[in-house]
Amino acid sequence: MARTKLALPWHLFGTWAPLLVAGLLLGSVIAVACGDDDRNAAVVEPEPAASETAGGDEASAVAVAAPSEADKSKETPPAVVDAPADEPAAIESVEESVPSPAPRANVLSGSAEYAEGVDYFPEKVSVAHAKNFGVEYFANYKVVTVPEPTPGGAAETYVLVQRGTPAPPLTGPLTGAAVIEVPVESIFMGSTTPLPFLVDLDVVDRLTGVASAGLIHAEPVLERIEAGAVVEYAAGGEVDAEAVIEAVPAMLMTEGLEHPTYPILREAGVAVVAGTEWLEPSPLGRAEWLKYVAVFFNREAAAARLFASIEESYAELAELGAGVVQRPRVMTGLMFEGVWYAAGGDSFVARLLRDAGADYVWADNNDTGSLPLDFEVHLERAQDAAYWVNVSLFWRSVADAAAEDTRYERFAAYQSGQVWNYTRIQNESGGLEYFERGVSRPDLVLADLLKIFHPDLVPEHTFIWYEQLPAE
Amino acid sequence: MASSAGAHVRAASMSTDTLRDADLQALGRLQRRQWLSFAGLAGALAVLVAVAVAVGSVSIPLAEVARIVLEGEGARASWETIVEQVRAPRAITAALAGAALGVAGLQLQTIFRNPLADPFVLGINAGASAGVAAVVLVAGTAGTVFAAGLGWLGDLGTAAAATVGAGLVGALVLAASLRVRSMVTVLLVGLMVGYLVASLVAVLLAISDEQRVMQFVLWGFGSFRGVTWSELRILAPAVGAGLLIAGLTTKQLNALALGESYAQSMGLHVRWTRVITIGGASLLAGVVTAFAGPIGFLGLAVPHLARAVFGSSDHRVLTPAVVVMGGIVALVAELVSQLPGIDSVLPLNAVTALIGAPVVVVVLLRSRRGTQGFVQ
Repeated sequence: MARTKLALPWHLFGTWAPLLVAGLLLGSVIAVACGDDDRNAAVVEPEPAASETAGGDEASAVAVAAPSEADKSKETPPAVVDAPADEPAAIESVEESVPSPAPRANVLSGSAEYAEGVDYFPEKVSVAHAKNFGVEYFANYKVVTVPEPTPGGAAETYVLVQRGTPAPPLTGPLTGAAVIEVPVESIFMGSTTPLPFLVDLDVVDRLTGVASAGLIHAEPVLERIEAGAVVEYAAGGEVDAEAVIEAVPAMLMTEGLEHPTYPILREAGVAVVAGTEWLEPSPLGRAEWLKYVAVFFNREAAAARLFASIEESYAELAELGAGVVQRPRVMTGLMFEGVWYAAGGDSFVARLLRDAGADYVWADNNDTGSLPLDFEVHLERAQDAAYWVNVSLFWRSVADAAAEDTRYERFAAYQSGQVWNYTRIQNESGGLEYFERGVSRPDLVLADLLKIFHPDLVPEHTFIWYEQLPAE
Repeated sequence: MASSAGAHVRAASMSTDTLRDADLQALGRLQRRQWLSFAGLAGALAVLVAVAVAVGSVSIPLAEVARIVLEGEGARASWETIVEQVRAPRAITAALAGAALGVAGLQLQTIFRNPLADPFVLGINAGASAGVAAVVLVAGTAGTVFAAGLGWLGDLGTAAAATVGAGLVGALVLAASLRVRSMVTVLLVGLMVGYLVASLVAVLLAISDEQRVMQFVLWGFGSFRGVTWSELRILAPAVGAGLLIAGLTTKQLNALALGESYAQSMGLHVRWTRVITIGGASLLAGVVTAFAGPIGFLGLAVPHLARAVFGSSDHRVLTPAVVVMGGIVALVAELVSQLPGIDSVLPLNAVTALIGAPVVVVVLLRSRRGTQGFVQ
């Protein structure tokens, strides 16, 4: 049991249950601190903040399309990508072109007329980095598989059928699969992490529900919430099944956990679709979930284009990091009740550190999540580390660490003040943009990290999410 | 029945016909009062079920709710779905779970002759958690250790795992109850098995990814809201069977309540009564825990409430009383947990004790019989 409400029946686990709970609770906090688990983080963290800062920095950091304006103007995709609402003419033209076989682009809105043997998805995506989803294309439907829809859970399959065309028979491997008509017209989002994907794909106007509005940073989403177009369906953590059913969303993307209410929703006919980008062990794998989201909106073209540029800029930055001769030793995480929770050696944090030209102290470890360590083991390994990143979200200064536990003073990074955290962009409630936008833009996270360890390699870059904690 | 036993003693000592008649009349009045209480409570239960179906976070006009319930169709498809797929199973689950946990608690308090006994003392809850954990271990893919499997086989997987876990622990305690004489020993064995199993779960949790632990946490809350009709198809008959066992063994429990040697002298097969009762209680608590997660307090409190309200320790009275009162308490807790005006839903386990504990205390203080009921 971990971070929870008051209701746990302690006697279940005996009198020492509180300790266990405290430990697990910490585990999740740490995970947040180490950035292993953005989803959890999103749960812990509240709120909206400015995304303009990020937008501004993007331009200088790397030439990647910024969420909205930039990508519209930059390259015109083969078909209509933009504005389903204000450009019905464009949509109709696609629709009308369908009966005379072979559409040249995916249908971005509305339905298509069925003709056998026609490929309704001329624009496709292929998956390069992500391990936890796959897409297979057929003439008028696509089959999406998620091997791990919940941590360790059994694979799920979704059949995405072009609206206006017949669904395939659900036999063989498709038995029991949820059928969803695409392009999806309304979506409920169980996590804040994929929200930037909706912005990037220009489908924010399809968002009709969010689990908790207080967690959100993405400006277009906040505007839509402000306008009253979005239902908040799990404000207190518990999914309000009635609110979801009343709103009749075409699909609900989960936070990657099996919530006890989801079976009710499935039985009521809501398509519950996994959202487990946070299980991806690589930064680009997480960002590639842009394609996953895009598949439900037939926006493969935009997703492929956007991701390619992110991938490219990440590769360029990683090349800078790879060429580094002096790799500073870096440690992560924090201690709770004598146990140090560091990022696993195969976690996405560790990969970012490696790509940023750092020598992560636990790089030889194989965990993809967080790594609980006995304090002395960690001390021996990390006390000389030059940098300390991803620390407690509650520390406003380096001194705060020592105020919590004087043993932190033993670390060289503490003494030199090289303590960094991704807390630069946050709103008045302490909500961190890193947990939302940081997932879709690993290249910018990498640029931040490079700037910490090798400022001369990215002289143009200004910090987006990372900041050095002040001494006092 | 304590009062009738007392009446006999007094009647014998006085040995006058008039007094005996007066006593019998008092007894008759008592039963009438019990019938009235029972009818009132049954009415309250029916009302609460209706309220639970009528009220929710989406406001649906009462007339529409009635139309959906009676005719099966409403003005909007979403309303039909809400009433039929969300509210109805939730109300039924709450009523069934309250009844099941209450009766299990009653059986265990009697058989252990301990007012603090409840379904948790048998380690049933811990067994259910461990069931989930064990399945996860077996089903877990390379490197994944825990809390996988909660999505395994969809929702029924969790329930099946929990049921098996609860059943295994129940069987272990049963075996102990066959071997040893003293019920205190059985009680201790149950507690120890519970601790042992809970420790295993704790170890699993400790060596698992905190991401997976999160999934486990969701199950651990305890809620009536996640039970679907397809799950009710398993839950309801299982609870029915458990209640039937309890209903058929009321006389045996009455005898046991007077002490084992007394029960034996009345020709009761004490061991088998224990086995059947513990088995029935395990079934009731295990299956509810499996589907609704661990729900505390009801099993402990409802029997005490019933004893106090009905002024009786006769299981022929108490068993149906606990069924109805358990349903009532569970439904009230469920309704309070989603009070209109509060955006979020309160955790059920907080609500049950929050509103239940003061009520139980007051009832116990006001009714001396309530405290005397089971201690013979």
